Amino acid sequence: MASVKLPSARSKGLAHCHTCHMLNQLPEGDHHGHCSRCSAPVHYRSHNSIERSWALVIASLIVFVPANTLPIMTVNYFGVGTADTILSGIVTLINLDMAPVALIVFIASFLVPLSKILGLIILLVTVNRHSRVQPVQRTTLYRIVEFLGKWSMLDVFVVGIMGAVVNLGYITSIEPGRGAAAFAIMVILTMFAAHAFDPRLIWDLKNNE
Amino acid sequence: MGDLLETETREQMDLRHLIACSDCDLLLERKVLAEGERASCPRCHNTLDERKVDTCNRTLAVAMAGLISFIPAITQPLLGLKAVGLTNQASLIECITSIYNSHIYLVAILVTLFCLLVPLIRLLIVCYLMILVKRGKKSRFGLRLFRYFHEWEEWGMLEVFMLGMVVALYKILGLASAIYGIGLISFAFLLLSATLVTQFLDEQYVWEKLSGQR
Repeated sequence: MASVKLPSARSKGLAHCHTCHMLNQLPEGDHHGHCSRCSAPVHYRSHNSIERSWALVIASLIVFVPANTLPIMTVNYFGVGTADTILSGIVTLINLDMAPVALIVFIASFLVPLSKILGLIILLVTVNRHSRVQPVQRTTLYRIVEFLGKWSMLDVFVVGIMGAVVNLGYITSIEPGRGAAAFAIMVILTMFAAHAFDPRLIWDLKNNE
Repeated sequence: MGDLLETETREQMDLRHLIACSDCDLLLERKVLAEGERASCPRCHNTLDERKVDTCNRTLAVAMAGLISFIPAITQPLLGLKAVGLTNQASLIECITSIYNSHIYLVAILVTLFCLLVPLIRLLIVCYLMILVKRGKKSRFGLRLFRYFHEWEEWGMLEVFMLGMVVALYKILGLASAIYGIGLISFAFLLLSATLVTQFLDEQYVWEKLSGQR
């Protein structure tokens, strides 16, 4: 099986449309065009996939700092406000004996975004180094990163809901902070970074064998 | 002239007998699938194609159910809080205005987009397209709408918002007693409908119908 050369669509001059899965014949010399069925842009491989993905990963790492240091919300209790970042919010939850919720928040707002960025870095480095190691596992890793994408928005939504619900005037109220905006930007950047990465690059060396 | 046309259609026909894996670009022969069958990539196990049973009627039914539950889901109170004789409840719209009033405009805009506009527009698009497909109409405009439907999929975040409400509920229960609003149930129904839409929708079938290839 290993000795059989498996054809890629690209080697036959065909480009797969990621929107409608139609195969397109691109004019000779062109690397991108539009799908003949749904007119979405098609390419043999996404244009500058690695560079764009790297840029977005680095940008999201930069935004990771304000997202975790700026207060995500402020709790006012009889006129006294305490600002909470994501991590201090988790500590507060543990102190309130709400460990299961603390775990969900910790996974969704800290572990997931960080491992998403890490997973993308692994993919980018291996493709940059023309690695042939474990293409199936790396494709699975890509799918996981892509699937996890939106779940990191959890904390942003929680803060929004809490801000609206917990509002008893002077007694107690919660106000979303600027950290929530920074956090949302970070999540969106990682989603775009995963989008920019073209998983077909993982397989290109295998295809050329 | 006749020859040229014929070769072009033959080429187009040949292309339709092939399929490439979207994740590893392996070129494969397209197999005609029976209803309920699924084809996956032999190399990276990605799903290539799936024929779903009675896709139009089922998708239309759940999409309409979703649209019906949409109105109470965004206007009725989702969660509330009761403490020292005071109560306060909030609907999705009130959540958005409350974030807006805290001057975190970006978050207000994103919640509006991801939890309200994108899911609503996607449900409207799918209803319209199912009606087009049921009538057997070819439509360029329909193809463009379906493209948007597909491209916006990951920006609809109803399920994340639902989990957010569960987490918020737990946090509220730690502070005071909580009120469950009618909006919460409607929102759960909306989420269920939107999930079933993706479950029942046979994308390949819709693409082929709208472009007149079937």
